[in-house]
Amino acid sequence: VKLIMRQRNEGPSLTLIAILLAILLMITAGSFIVMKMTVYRISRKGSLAGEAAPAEYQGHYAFIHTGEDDDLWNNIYEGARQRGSQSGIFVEYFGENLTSTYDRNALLSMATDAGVDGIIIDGAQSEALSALIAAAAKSGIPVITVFTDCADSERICFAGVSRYSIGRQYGGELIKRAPDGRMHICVLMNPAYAGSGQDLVITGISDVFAEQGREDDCVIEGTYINDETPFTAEEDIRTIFIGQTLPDAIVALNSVYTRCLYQAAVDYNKVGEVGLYGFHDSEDILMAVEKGILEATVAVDASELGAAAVDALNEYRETGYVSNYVEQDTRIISSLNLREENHGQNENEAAAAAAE
Amino acid sequence: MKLRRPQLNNISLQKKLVSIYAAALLLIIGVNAVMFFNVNTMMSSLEQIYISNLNLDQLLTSLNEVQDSMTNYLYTKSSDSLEEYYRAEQSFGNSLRMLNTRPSDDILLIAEKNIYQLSADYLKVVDEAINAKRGRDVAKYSDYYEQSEAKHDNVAAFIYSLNNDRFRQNSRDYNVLLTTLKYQEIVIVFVLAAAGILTLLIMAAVTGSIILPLQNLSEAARQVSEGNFDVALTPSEDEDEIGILSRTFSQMLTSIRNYVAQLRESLQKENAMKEKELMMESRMKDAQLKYLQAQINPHFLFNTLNAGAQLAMLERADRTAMFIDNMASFFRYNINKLSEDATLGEELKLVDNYLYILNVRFSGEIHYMNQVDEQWYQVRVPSMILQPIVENAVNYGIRDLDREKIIEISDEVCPDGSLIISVWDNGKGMTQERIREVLARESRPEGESSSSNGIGIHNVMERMELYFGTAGLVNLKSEGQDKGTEVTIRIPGGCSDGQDEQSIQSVEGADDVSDHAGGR
Repeated sequence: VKLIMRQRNEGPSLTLIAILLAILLMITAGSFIVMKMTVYRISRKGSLAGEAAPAEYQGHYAFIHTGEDDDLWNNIYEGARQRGSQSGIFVEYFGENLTSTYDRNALLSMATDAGVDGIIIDGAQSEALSALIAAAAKSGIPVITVFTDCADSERICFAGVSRYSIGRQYGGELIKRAPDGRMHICVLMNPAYAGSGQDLVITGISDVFAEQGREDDCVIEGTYINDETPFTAEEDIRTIFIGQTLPDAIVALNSVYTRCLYQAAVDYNKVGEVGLYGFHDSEDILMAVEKGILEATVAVDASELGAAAVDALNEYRETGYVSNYVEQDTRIISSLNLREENHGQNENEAAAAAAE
Repeated sequence: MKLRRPQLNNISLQKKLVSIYAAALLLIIGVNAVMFFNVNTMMSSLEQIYISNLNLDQLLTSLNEVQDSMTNYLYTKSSDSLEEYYRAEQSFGNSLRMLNTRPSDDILLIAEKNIYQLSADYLKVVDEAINAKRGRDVAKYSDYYEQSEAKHDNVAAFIYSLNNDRFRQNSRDYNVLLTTLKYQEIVIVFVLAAAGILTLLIMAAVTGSIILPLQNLSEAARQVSEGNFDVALTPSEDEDEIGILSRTFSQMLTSIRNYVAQLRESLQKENAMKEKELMMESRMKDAQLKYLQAQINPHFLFNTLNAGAQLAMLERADRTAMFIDNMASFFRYNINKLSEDATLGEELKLVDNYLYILNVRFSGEIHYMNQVDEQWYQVRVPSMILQPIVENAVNYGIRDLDREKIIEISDEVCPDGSLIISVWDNGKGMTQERIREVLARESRPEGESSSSNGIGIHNVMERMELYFGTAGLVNLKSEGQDKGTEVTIRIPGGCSDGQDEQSIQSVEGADDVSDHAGGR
């Protein structure tokens, strides 16, 4: 009988070795890739020479705004940036990253020197600004004013809201507050934009009263708030509440004034006693409207405004022409239509839930 | 490894081991190299991280140099300051070339673009100022100087801000790199450990496959050492030392198997030869026997005795006639039966004849008793086995006895079916020593064969052995001096033989059975 000795299969199996080898190579390759990615990411941003900018950006617009009402202006900028990136333009919030603060004119001058492709600026009625806009235009840089115009300048377009319409919207609400008696209305105005159409708000309000044959019933007083320092506005507004006679209604024409106003009214326990009318539709302001602290607020679609400015600049760069004025609609939000809106929203949500 | 095997087949063991070691080494070195490259790249990235800040510092320094040298020139109009200005402007221009000049959504890159454009604008103004100074237009260069101061400050502010942002960014990157490096460290430790283990596994697997034939070989060798030559090694295709060793071992096994087979064959042959030799010996004995028988001229003796018997009858000497007749029978038996076997009855008849003759010679001194049952008379035995024993009993047992001399033959049936015939005498008996010597056939006194009728007890023993093929059939017993001797002859299968042939006996009749007791 022959004993045949078979091959014994001893030691680790080849499958195990293959799996381990694969894992080892994968980890090695993985660590290599991670390292490469990290170094790439860092080198892309770390090198001063920089990577070549993405090809889709063909333009560079400067967006210039200084001063208050950051909420509104952030929204306008965001709208402009988004529209810009859609059309291959980078819209830079010019001077935002600088370590020292520069005023609007200095920034406009720098943007001109920096040779940007277009400038979107928060306008004002000032000769210095007009001169700088003229200098930019001379350098071939189109300038668009947003929200507030700089009339009589070489700006190619103004994208903004009609102050007069806003006045009429306030007027409509105010007249509801004084069905018969006389009314003392105080409009808080920003001296930085003096002469830029804030007066038209007053005209609008008084026209509404006049149309009702009640022009004698209303006394409208425009008050410029002290803006010597960034903090004096709040102090000035509080002073109104400390004064001997309070107006029947106060209208604030920007979001900062609106916040100061309703906070002061709450603090001095004057809610209800004075009709407060605000501006902008940020969350806290809408909350104040909902609580009845503010009678109403006027809202503008800020991001649309920013987008309109970019569109106008693009149009000008493409065709050499653009409409002088691009108007953005505003809407009044009172506690009443806010409730209706919320109700409608809730109904919609309920319908959606039911549909689901 | 299967894929690799064919390539490894024709490689020597040393080369195999070296190549496996080299492969393992390559694996570890390869993994190490990748890790080293990773760490190295990251370390150099780490070194490069703050280079942008250094570059921006350099840019700022160059900018200030431009402004300072320009101012200096405006103050002094010295050629040194102008030279310094050109050098600074050149340096600044070179530094500017590092900056991004295209639109981007990265605020740092867009800041670079701004710096680039602002600097270009600044340099233009500075250049105008220098030119105005050359043209000694005081009002103009004063104006340009003021402009350049403002623009210089703007550019410096931009560079400073960018440097700040860059520093923040770089610090973040630095942290990311440090973290990644720490992870890399862990990965390196893990990967190295894994590579080590993997190398061990690969070595184990590959050396295992190399050593396997060796293990087979040692197992085969172990079995061979235990005496099992019937092992077969799986044929190894390897051309290495182990493969050669395996094949050689297999060949050696085959040779050993062949040798063992040959040895076995020759042993068998040798055994056959021995058997043949034994046969020859037995034939020799046979021949010797025949020779012994032939020593007497039986026919002459027999014829003579017959003539004597007739003569005695004629002379009416009945006893003499009977004596001679017995003698004639005795010798006739010798003539007829020596060459072949006989029945137990014939043997007993011979003993009758023999004792009759002796009793005549020794005047009827011997009392002979035949106790054997007649049913065993047909049992076949070698001829001439009882008479020599009886002759021995007479010669060495009872001859010189003064008292009564008895010889008794009896039978005994063994449980195994053999028949025992016992020849007993009341003679001198034997010592145990002598019995042992006789049974061991140690001594054969020279006179024995001649003193008996030519056939001694040893001859009886040998013939019984040859006839039945079994040793030890003849036995001696004696209880000592003067206590007699009993010689027993065991006939294997005697009982069955006897019964089988009883019927034949009853038909044929026992013609000379009645004569058996004739000598008593």
